[in-house]
Amino acid sequence: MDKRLVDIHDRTVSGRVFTDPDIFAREQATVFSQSWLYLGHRSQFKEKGDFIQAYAGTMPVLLCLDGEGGFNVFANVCSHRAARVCQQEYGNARKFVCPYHNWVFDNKGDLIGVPRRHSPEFDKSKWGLCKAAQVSVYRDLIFCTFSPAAAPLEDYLGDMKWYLDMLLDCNGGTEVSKGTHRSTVHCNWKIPAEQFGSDNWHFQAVHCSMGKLGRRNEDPNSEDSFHVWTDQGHILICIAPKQEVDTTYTLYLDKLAAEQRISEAQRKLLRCTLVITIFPNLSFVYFPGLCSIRVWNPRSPDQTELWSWALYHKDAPEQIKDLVRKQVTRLFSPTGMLEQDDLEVWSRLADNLKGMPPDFRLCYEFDADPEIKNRPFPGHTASLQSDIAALAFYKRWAEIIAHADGTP
Amino acid sequence: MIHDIERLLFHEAHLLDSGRYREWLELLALNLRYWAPVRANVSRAQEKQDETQRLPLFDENKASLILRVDRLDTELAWTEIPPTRTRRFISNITADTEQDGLVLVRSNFMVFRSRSFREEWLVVGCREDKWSTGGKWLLRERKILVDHCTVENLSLFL
Repeated sequence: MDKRLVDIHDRTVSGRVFTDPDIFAREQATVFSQSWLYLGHRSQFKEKGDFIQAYAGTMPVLLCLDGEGGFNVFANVCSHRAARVCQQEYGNARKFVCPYHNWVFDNKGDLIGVPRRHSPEFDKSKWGLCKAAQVSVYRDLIFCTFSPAAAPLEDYLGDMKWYLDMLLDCNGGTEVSKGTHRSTVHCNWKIPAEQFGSDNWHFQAVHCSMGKLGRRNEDPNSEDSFHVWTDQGHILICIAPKQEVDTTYTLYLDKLAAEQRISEAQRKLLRCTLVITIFPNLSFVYFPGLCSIRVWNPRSPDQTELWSWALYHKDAPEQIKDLVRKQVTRLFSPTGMLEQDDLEVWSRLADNLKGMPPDFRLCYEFDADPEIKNRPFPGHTASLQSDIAALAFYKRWAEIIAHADGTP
Repeated sequence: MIHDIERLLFHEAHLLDSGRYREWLELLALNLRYWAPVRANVSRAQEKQDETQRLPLFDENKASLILRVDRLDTELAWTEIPPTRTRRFISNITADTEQDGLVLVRSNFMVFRSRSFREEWLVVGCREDKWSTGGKWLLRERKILVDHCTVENLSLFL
């Protein structure tokens, strides 16, 4: 039965993958506990003691910069009676006092104080907050994993580093906007995660209103348009521009060349639209003048909470930062003219799938142009007019779920 | 004056609930600033202090609002096909005259939204407007404070 959740040979995915509460619980115990999960950006931390709230899958966590300059990740859930230890979404603190019974934790997650008298046998060191096994930073992006055995973050990102470097590599690094866009998405987290790295097709369909207004500059049929997928389940869409036009942003990119260590090939792709999902639930959408970084937080089988930020070079002129912030707000926010249409389509998906019989399967058969594989880019490349990248995402997901069960 | 202001805001609400967006645009000054800071779950003082730095939910001028209406008029904007049913209640209106003929208007809003067959939710918040008067009332500035930290699809004007 489980082998059939994702069928690579007949290229279908079971509807249960998006609705079944048992599968949701299992993916929390496997996919989200073994993978590297994005939690925050280095620019959100200015001083020692700064912290932010985040989610590691469904687990509420705190990400803290400690007194020695290290990042710590631990559950924001008291080890005593599971109260939320810290309520503020961001701030600065050397210690956290749980409001329920005033247990006190330091910003590494260790229990340092219990206000009531306790027996000599009570061992505080046993009752620290649940900690991530590893925390690692790649070009200002802070990730954690709850698996001590997980391969290093750089290995995990693998071939996708080459593409991330295009967005992130710059003297001075990047920063994210202050303030977080948070919206409720009424479908399983995998639907948007899949779409962001693999679904070129929906651009022309669901977002056609912007095309009609002449607000799209993309040529999906260009030689320079393609998909990428990697064995780790990371996926990417690259769409070349229809016309090479100089804009405020592309002129800025030209000036930026000396500040970046990326190749000519990478620089050329910065003229394209890039939509990326880093497995499992971190996504980016970029085109010249816009960059959004976002996490699809799973809440339940049929509900996801999208947290997103604008991303730009830290040393960019204020005019460029303002342009990116405005474009993100107007296109990829809960009021955004592109995001609204996605949210609308996703909003009834959970309900639709629940109405279908258990053997209902979704079609991932498309591969219209098989000969344009093997482009000279890192990762496996595929035609833009195909479901190959989407299927690669589910292949990786199914491998992890199956492996944890001991099934082949 | 307060009665004129009330009549103005109720008229505006009627235009928006009726989908008469082109007529609504006529109430907006050419140099309009229309913005909605995103809420943060921190202390009141901290939230106020960071307000202008946080990525907003709306950051619009008249041209970008016209673009949003143009998009709805393509009849291809799926988020509003068929249109969401909205009903807005505007209350707690106060008005103070500022310098240069601008009137500072505060109001609360509650917008009921119903989409498809059974998706229903409320958007609640307050607004601080600056209206210019000189024969015709024109909206020069609107700051919208929604009372939600996590929002639903906000495919509406507030």
